[in-house]
Amino acid sequence: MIDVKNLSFEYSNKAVLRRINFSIKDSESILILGVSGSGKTTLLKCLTGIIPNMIEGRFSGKVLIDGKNTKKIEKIQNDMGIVLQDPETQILTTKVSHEIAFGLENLCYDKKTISKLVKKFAKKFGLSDKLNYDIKNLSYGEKKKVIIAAMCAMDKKILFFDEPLANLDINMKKEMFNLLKQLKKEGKTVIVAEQNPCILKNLFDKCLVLDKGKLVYNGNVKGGMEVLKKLTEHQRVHRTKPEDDYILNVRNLSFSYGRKRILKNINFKIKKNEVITITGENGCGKTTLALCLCNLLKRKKGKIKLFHKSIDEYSSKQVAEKIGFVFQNPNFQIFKNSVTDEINYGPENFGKEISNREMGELLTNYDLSHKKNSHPFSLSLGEKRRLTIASAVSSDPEILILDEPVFGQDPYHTSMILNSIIGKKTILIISHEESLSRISNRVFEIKDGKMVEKKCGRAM
Amino acid sequence: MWKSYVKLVLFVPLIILALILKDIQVLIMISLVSLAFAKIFNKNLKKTIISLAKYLVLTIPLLLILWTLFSSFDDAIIATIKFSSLSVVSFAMMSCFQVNESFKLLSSIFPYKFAFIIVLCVRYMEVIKEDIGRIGLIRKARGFEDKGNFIKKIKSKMELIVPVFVDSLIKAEDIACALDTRCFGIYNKRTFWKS
Repeated sequence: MIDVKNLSFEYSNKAVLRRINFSIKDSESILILGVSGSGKTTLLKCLTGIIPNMIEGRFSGKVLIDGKNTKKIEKIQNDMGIVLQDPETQILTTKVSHEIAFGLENLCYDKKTISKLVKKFAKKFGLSDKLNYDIKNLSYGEKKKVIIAAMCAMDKKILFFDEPLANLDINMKKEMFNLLKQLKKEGKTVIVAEQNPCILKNLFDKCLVLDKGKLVYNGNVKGGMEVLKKLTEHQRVHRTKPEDDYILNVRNLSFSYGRKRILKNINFKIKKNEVITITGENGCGKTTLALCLCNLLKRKKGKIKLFHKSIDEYSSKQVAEKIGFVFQNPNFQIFKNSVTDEINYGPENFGKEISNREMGELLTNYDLSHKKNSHPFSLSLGEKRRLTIASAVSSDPEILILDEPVFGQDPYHTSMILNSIIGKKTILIISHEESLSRISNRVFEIKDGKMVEKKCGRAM
Repeated sequence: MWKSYVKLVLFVPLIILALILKDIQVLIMISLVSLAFAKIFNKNLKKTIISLAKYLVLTIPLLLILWTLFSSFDDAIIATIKFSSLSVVSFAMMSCFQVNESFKLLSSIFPYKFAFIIVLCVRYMEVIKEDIGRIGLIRKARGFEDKGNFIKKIKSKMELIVPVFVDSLIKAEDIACALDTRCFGIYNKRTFWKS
């Protein structure tokens, strides 16, 4: 039983959670909804005792788990496990079997019991034939499964999942659904935070909706989805028609890392002002393809024509001027000390100047005016993403490559960004989000190194 | 476990020899022998050798110049060869130990919490190296050109440190969280299981 009383949390003078009250019964399953930045992850961290034990900030109120206060983490550690969004940082060893055994070793189980448990849980999660694999070589979804197996082997009673569906393809999503269903059947308390629960929504007994750190809804899932829908109302994004001029032409592109072939014979053409989405499972080579298109990675075979000229005839700077690239991790693309300097960084490198008017326009278009002079690293994840897109657009490239642009972005700002660029630039989006296929002219999927055209969704 | 002790028995004397001896020919022999040992335990040595070569190309000229400035050229050559053979042996040794193995070995000497910190650091070194490469690419995509003299190049490399540092801090929070949910460090002892 989890009891939350008057929980508030302030992080560097910003209130993330405000006076939250609710309680969860044993073996109940809860869905926590909310747009990104509404405080879902922080709430999960508060429930597991990571806040206030490991992260500093102003914490007030009480979280009781079976009557034990989370301020003493040693008492509750055994009962609860949290699976964070990114599996890479939660992997602590190198082999699948060691990863499952890690927690059991910490609990001082004897070796025989550990062997037995590792085998049992590997079988349960379909990892039996991969026990000796290097975790590095597993797919993204499998890594997530390994972590969940490790948690279950420790016999945790309460399991928390932070965006379990993020970055998974549809088959993996179904598998995750079955997994959670099974955990629920076993009588575990399952608590999931998601912004887009799609297939998971029929699984839960109760639903909480967070908005800007406040609990705005506590009831059944159907009602919760409606509340979320109201919160995420946004402008429409319209599909536009491209011009009849092929500006990027890729023929027989192949790429391999060492012996591993990642891309095989990829062919496609992009028209001017067209919007194209490339989907596929994590690690299938979407980002690699994009890097090859900018000539940042040298392809093994094939031809790329940019504006009817081979890409090798351009210098790397000229290519960078024509193709703007926004990468997935916003922390990696911040080099300057203020938002305006950051936006100016690209144009400065190309010897261009942007006027005050243009700068003001960019800042309002990306809703960054109020943060004009702050340090980019002090922005929230969503703001950082908007900044990285703004700083790519500022040097006025013809083609824009966006790697997971909506990840961590609320729908209002997503449509705001898309509306400001669609129809004016040629856009190549790399994303798992199915909603993005609705604004695209064409959708491709990369599978086993090959590219297949898929059907576009309905217009948004 | 016996296997890791065998490795230690093979490599530690080589390291000690490389530290004590001054004869150039013997030092070169020692490095070759250590590479041969490494080949027995680790089938794909190619990566290690490449990173070793990169490392040596950077350090050898620096060492030669500095040593010649403060001492004679002959001394500089001996010192450099000694230094490089030492690094060859230690690289070879490092490449033979897997994360779990070294964790187990280290924790027989140090408290296990401390041992794990060392192992985790070594493991994340690789991740950070990859990150730096990626950030370099991103900067290139925004029109940055690696031009200019030596000092300018070093300065531009310094620009990469802030993003790497910030991202590592964020990652560290996640790792701490993962360690916590796996009950790391709740007892003073820990079993070491091996399949």
